[in-house]
Amino acid sequence: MTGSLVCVGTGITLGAHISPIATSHIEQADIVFSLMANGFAQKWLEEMNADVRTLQGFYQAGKNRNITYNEMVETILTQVREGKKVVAAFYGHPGVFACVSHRAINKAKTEDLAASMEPGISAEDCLYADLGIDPGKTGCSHYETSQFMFYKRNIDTSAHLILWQVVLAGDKSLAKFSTGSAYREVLIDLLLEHYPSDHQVILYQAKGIAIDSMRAEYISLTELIDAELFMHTTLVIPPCTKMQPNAKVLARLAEIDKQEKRANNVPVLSLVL
Amino acid sequence: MSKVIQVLETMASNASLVSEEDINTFLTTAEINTEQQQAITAKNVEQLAETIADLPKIIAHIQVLPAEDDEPIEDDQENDQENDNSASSKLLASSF
Repeated sequence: MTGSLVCVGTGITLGAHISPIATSHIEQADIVFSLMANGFAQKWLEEMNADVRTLQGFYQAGKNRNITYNEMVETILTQVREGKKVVAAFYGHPGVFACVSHRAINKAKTEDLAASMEPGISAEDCLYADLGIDPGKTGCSHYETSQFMFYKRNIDTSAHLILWQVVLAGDKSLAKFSTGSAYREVLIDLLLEHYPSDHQVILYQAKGIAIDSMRAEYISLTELIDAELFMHTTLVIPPCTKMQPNAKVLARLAEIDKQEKRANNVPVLSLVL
Repeated sequence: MSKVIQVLETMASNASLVSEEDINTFLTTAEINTEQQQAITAKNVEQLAETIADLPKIIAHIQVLPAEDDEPIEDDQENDQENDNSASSKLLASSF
């Protein structure tokens, strides 16, 4: 028997966001590995398949998460190699800010094992709906917060800037579940190079279950230092400047428009028989 | 399926359960205990969690790293250019 792996997303809100194909994969799997964001969702999943195994046990405070993720991947793939029909169910979207599914699928493919991904409704999707942000309006950049801090970025203050996992801001150890105000101060100072200190930012949390409330807390940038942050808190920084026209590109496009107009003005010759 | 989980699933997926009145009517017919009904009405997640004895514990759910491997990030200014060049290979590939 040939094993297979399907990574599925269960969405953010229990029961509201899962797709029919993800549900079907979960129900038909030999084994379902899971990483859910709350106990209710884990219990819900456990009732969809008789063999649901949580990957929670791999997380430990003080343990490098890179090791944790590799252990999760190996655990999943061991069952695929044994010929099982395996589903790895992740909250939200299995491929958005989620390295376990990408690593597992990539590794499975290098071993000629069948592996695929089914999307789910992500926290990003919920964010656009809940906060009324259209990423197409002024543009939108997304970064994992620590990555944003560790690497030089061209910050576009005329677009939305969205920082994920802000609770872990500046954690180089990869072994913490939260960092303190000293780390956040570094993030704030970095942002203050581009945004005014009184710029209103949003702490966002999607709702995990029907009775949860969505969090959209507006604070000034400097208030971030004392803000209550959780693993699922996202920092949304709206634009503070207007988009600046790119005169050089616009001039080139105007020239093309002119040429096209000239070409279109040529009388159309038709063949009369 | 656990009745209370079934209730949460229905509340999240049934468009007719929007108003407080409709939700209250639904809860009176749901086979959950009074404590659970009260917690749901009060939208008190912690209180509801306490009513489920075998509710699984969640330690973490983070699944992303700032860099793809666990190599330390270079602090040396002299290595900035080198870092800039190698950064793209270290970044976590996340799809949207």
